[in-house]
Amino acid sequence: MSVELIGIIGIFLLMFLLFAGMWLGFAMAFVGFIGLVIVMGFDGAVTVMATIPYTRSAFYSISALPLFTFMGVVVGASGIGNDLYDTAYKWFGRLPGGLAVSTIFASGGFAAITGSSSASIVTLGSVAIPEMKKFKYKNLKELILRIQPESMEKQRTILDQTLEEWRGDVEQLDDILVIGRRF
Amino acid sequence: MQTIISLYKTIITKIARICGILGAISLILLSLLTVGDVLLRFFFNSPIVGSYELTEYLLIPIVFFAIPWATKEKSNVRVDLIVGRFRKHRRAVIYAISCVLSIIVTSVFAWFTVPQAFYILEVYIHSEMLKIPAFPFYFLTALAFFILFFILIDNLIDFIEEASAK
Repeated sequence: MSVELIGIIGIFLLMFLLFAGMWLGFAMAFVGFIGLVIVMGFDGAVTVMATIPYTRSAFYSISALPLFTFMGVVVGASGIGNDLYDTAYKWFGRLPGGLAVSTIFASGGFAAITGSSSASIVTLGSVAIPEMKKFKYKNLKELILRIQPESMEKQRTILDQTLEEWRGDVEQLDDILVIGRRF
Repeated sequence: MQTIISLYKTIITKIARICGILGAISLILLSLLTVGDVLLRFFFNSPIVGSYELTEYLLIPIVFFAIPWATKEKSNVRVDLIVGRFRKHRRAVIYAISCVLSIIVTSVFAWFTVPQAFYILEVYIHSEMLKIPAFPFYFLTALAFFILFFILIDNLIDFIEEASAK
């Protein structure tokens, strides 16, 4: 098998593992290891595996990454990220896809302050993702209208199930209270 | 059996927490070092000697203590575009399989970084300016992989419990 073919198969295997939900770092390490074993043999592969983690981590150029991420966390905790996001949401929140548009503008503002994409992701992500995770009134209204012919008990079950399935294993962000009244 | 598992989980949680704290301390030290270096260079034209080497060495605890902590918290980055739509227990089965693959690759890392650390100790590689030996950091890398291995086992137990829950 040629090295090029091994590389192509490796890329497909990596894509498969990533979409199968494997953690990014582990997926890359796993595919890399398999590829090395095929190309260099087991002894050659373990020699590389024994040195790569150290040499790739003790690397001056990447020191900016944890520091920028740290800065993002500090800025996020100080509330600057929230203010930026609120401002952008007030301006662009009413547009179609307002949440996404606001996030982009808030990211632009944040990038202008820090000049770092990794810091922007950490800060804006922590603010925007909880907003995006919310079910929103529109979805809830549509659901209630759709299930109104059902009995009260059935409606309650459907509401419970829909919310649970929609939430998946993500933590609940706020209290939810639904009161039903049959006329 | 349940008692052993819960004891194992308690110990692993504590170790992971210590790793997280050590990683955070290293990160704060790195930021102080960088700020100090820049200020001393800018105002007094005398940067910290060997800051380049210290930065590289400090990256080791940051990276290798943070990985076990992030893994314990299940905070590593993953793509849940497809798997996220699956039902909970089916998703747990897939996560368990990917966890097994992660355990395999981590055990290889753990097993083979130890002889590498002993080799570095034997040849006594050190930094250019401060003459700081590199072997403790190689041992730290190996230790982190061993901790990561046990944390992944802990994660696997979680996924199996989740998959088998009704």
